[in-house]
Amino acid sequence: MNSKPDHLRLYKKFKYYFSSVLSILLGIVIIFPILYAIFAAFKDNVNFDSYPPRILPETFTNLENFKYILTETLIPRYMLNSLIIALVASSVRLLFSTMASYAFAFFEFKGKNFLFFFIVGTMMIPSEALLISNYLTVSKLGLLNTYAGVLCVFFVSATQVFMFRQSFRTISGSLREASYIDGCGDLQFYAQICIPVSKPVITALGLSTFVNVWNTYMWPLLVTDKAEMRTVQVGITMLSNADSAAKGNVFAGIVIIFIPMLILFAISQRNMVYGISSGAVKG
Amino acid sequence: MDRNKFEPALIVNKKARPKKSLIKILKPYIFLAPITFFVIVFSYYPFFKTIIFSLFKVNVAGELTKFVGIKNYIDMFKRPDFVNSILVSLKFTVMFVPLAVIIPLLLALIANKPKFLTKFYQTCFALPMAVSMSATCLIFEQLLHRRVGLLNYLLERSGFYDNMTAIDWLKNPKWALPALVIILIWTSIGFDFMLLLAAVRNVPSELLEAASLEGAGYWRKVSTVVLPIISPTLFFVICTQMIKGLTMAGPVMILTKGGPLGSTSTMIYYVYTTGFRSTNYTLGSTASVIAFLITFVFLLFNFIYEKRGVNYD
Repeated sequence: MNSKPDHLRLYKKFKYYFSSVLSILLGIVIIFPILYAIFAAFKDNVNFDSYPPRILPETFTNLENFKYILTETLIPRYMLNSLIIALVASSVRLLFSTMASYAFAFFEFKGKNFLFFFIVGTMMIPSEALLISNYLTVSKLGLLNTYAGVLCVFFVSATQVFMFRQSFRTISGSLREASYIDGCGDLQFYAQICIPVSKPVITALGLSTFVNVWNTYMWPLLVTDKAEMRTVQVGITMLSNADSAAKGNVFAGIVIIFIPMLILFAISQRNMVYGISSGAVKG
Repeated sequence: MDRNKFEPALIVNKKARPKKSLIKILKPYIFLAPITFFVIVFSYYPFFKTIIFSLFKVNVAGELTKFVGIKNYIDMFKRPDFVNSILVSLKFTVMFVPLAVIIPLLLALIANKPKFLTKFYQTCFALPMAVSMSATCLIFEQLLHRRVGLLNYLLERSGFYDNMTAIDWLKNPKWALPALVIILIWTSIGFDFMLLLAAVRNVPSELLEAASLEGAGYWRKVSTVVLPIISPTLFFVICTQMIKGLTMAGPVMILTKGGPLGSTSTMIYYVYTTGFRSTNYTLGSTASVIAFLITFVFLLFNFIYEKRGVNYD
């Protein structure tokens, strides 16, 4: 009689480990392309033409590819460009959308609803449909091949306005009244109450903007054609198209531009989605 | 000073002194000024400009030369390469959206059950989001290579290629588009997995227990308890994936250049080739507007369905 629960427990234990192992295998399958790229970065260039294809490099001490990327190509410069663009874009975007949300959350004014829908309505226009006109604007302003030219289209995010409004609304109106009476102006209230209170949302949205801008391909490709103004994403594909650079070098480049993202990811895995799951979706 | 000037202000706030209330009135607009400026200059202005361009003949300098009305649109639909690009984008979206929603959802359901080494495979599921689209393309280009690619090697070893020659994934008119689907899915797995995992975690456990007591199996619980509760997130994911699918162009530019035989020439890639490669702004703008309208119709359908299918309680 006692054997039955034992049997069941064994079955449960087996199921637990079996599904764990399956999940782990699935995880490895999913990150396989990343592992492949890391291994490939250590290979010499002949290795890529061999059949059957090899996954592992012969040694992990061959750093020639990395040395080539860091000294012979413009990839470090591209990384600097992308870093500047992504940092400025995400900070300005945060500043603009928190300011707008502050107005929407705490003021009553004429045209409030109109302006809100005017800004949020841009969500409906995919940026890909605006490429030509925006390109013409940027070129007319003489901003081709400048940081400003790449940056200017990244400053507005309707989603962010939406989410910050949500977040600021949790701050009670009476708190604002009280600080008003104590002589705290709007700027002070914005900077010392609203921003600190929304810190998790700010980190989340700031990080995801940073990653998105760092990863954009098409817009920077269109508005830059000088070699030293390219961003990493454009630069790495140019490297792969160039005849001089070989496969091993390209993969070393991929790994090098992956490192900053990996660090960000490690710091903030949780934060990155927090904003969206807490704000926009629950409406 | 002329008191009348401040009259509207006085109506709004009778106690305040005139000068103060002017500042008070202007304040919200000052807070909104920067974003509104950029919304106008880089969203609405280009949007209407594109529409106007599509009604004119436009020269290489971007100047309007002749009003032609909807003739551009009629001409557009007579161009087989453009009609083909619409079909390619639709085909891509039809293959992409279901997989790009279901795969992250399944991964989220898998990762939601605490198991041995949960942290490890959760990180694995999310990690693709740290790899950029262009890097992903270059990695997959190697994996999908006809002769030395790992995929073909595995297929060959497993006997899949017994009676035929190996497929050149990115250069075969039948397989290039599905290959791009796989690549784009891989780049979007990470983020959507994290989103859906957060949503699945928020499902109250009492509801799941109650369903278990009534004898519901795992999949029954998923379909009757989990899915309705996470439906807002699911809706968000479906919308964003749909936009992503319909406006896809990056992987095409990097890997296939629209080929082979136009089989991967999407709408936005068409905009890119006409507008930027051949500087034909008339064609490019008309194609942009059509691409926008198609995306808009898809979203509209989504929002109509949202009213019935999505539950915000």
